[in-house]
Amino acid sequence: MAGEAGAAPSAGSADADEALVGLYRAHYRSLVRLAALLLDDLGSSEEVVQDAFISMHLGWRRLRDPEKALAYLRQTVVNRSRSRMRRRVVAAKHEPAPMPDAASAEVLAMDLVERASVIAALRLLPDRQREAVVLRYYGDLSENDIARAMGVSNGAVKTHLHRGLAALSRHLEGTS
Amino acid sequence: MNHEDKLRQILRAEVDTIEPSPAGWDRIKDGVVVRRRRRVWQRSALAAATALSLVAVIALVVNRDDESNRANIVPATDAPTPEPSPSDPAPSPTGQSASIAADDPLPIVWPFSTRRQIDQWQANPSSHASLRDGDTAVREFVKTYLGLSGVDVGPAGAAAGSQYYPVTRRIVASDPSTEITICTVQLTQNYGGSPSSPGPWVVTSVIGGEAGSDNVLTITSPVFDDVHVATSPLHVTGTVKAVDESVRVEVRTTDPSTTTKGYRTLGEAHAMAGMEAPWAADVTFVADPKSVGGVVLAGTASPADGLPSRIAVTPIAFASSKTTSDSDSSAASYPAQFVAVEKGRIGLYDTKTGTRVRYLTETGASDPSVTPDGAFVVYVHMLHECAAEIRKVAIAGGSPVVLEPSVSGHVASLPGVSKYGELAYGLRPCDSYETEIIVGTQHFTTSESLIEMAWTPDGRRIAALTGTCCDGGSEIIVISPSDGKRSDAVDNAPPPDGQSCMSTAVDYTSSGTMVTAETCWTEDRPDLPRANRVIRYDPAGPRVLIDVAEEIEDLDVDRSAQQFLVVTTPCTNCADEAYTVRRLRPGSGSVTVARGLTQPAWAE
Repeated sequence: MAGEAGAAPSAGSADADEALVGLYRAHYRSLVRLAALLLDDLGSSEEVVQDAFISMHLGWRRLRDPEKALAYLRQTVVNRSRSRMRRRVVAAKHEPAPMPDAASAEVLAMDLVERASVIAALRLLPDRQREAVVLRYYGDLSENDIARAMGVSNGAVKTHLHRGLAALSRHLEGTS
Repeated sequence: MNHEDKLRQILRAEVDTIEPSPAGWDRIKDGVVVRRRRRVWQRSALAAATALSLVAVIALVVNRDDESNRANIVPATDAPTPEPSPSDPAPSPTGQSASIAADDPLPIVWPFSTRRQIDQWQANPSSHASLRDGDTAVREFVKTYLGLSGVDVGPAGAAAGSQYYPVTRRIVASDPSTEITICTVQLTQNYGGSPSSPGPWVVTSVIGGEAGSDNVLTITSPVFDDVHVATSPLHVTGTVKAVDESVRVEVRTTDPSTTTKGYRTLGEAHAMAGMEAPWAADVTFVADPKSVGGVVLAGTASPADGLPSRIAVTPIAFASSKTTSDSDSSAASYPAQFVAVEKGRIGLYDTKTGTRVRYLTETGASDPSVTPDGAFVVYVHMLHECAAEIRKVAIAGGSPVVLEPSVSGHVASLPGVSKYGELAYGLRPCDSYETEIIVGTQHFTTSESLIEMAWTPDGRRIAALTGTCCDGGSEIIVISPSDGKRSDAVDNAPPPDGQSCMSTAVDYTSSGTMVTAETCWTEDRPDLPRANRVIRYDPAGPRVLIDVAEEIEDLDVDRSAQQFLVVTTPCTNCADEAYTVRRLRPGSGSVTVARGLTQPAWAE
């Protein structure tokens, strides 16, 4: 960002640039993976996260704190993913998840069909339940952090988690 | 292994092998540059091209100075007319020709800064799939140069000698938290003589509305169905501030009869660097979309180098809304019209006679609110019992636009738009009464149902009336979206002796004073009639303004704060016919306006 032709970045924008680089290195991959669970195609997931980073950079003067920025990024990724899902008229082609290069014995032993059943059931959950489940069981976020990312109360988080897990339990029983 | 651990394992197995593309970093960098570059004004060569019907505020640079048409409305300085600079900056769409500080007051979005950039974009075949494919051209332009997705493109229109593709009234970045990117863009293609040999696409910007103090630009509408057309001619005023260099601003109206330029100059203003200049013009709008008409406010180049100079736009004022009054000359005037719901449709009604002027929506509509500019009604449209969209329709007439699509398994309610164009609404699951209040990307939960919401006139807070209506309690909370804070429940006015009261409606006066309607009853004596009143929460304390016999279910306060439009009902869950719209004025009693209507709102 710094050093663009004709550009003389202010101190504020230099801070934002530096923060952007640091947050990208630390969190971009995990946020793309999170988005991939909320959406169902990698291309959209990457775009959503990229847009979130761009938006964060734009609003840096209000954030000015990497911790706040990470929370903002998560919230933006969740919201944008939700918007994307709403705007889809026809379900996009679903590309099968790539096989791991060096899968552990435990992963290889898992029945891939039953795993796909859980993922398919995840995709069918209402948006809020899917978000809560993904943030909790993939993101390992606390209830407070989930509430902030989703913009709901802690009570609502509990409700969405409870309902989401209940809906997935039938499929999880098949994989136990 | 329990279900939770199993789920963790499955989710990680599903995505932990995903490696994002390294190109993502380049896209982020490009996106940041595009966002920065948006804050540079565009040269006016575009305005000199085809320039069809534009409205209100625009940032286009003027190169011509037509003395004969100049209306000497405002004093002009003798700033020299600049010559175009021979050395344009590098014309890369991702380049940047001006340094922008984060706090600069420049809300308008525009991608090009030089004529050369426009020419290069138009000549570049990869800029759009086909010179004839306006739809693709618009989408590619907006995506590439404004970095926005989810663009709605209006239907192709035609004017003499050209065709155009207007982008609909709002381009909202896919992240609603983005503050600045609200504009309407129009691509116009000259026929160059015949439709079979179209010329290049010309990009013009159509930006109408006002810039708020936090640089959020509120868009009104493209001129074709702009409500101001109906009230033309208008006296239009505004101010412009030159941010870093002196500028000349010209107010024009497009005029197809002038074959040389296509526009007439109505007035101009000169602003020295750092100073403000007022401008004003009397404009007659043209209603026919096939004939062009409207107002163009053009920002000029700096006298020093001819490049676009930044200006800050302040609100544009149009003629005030129409009002009427009773025959008694001592009576205060009140808005001539109001909107309300009648048998599942929203209509526009005459306040004096109660008769319907016209329907504004089809069936399935409810929860109307009028935008602060008085031009639109925002409302809920039920697609089916568990799906609702939020739509907007012009009071002057026209097709509705979807502001928020339906959310699977949820029902939207009570949309309202702030002074800055920010939309707030309620959203609840179909099987639950627990409603979330949504403002942009922020969600505020309530543990109860949402009965009514009202923005403060300054657009900074929302009052939400929540509760299990009519058979339990209710409370009013005030939310501040900017910092996410929520107040404690507003203390109700002291109830009459021996009675309990609850709020049933809430609104704000134009000065920001909260007004509520309350119903009061005697505990354990449901046979006694309820007392119903309108309370105004003055700084000194709540004050009862009006007592009414029937329960008030809806309340809207006009701008003068002297006329209250209410709906009263003799019972909860009465049939529509039992609802009465009344006009109340403190000290003057009530006037029955109409029956069988609900959820009225002043159309002002």
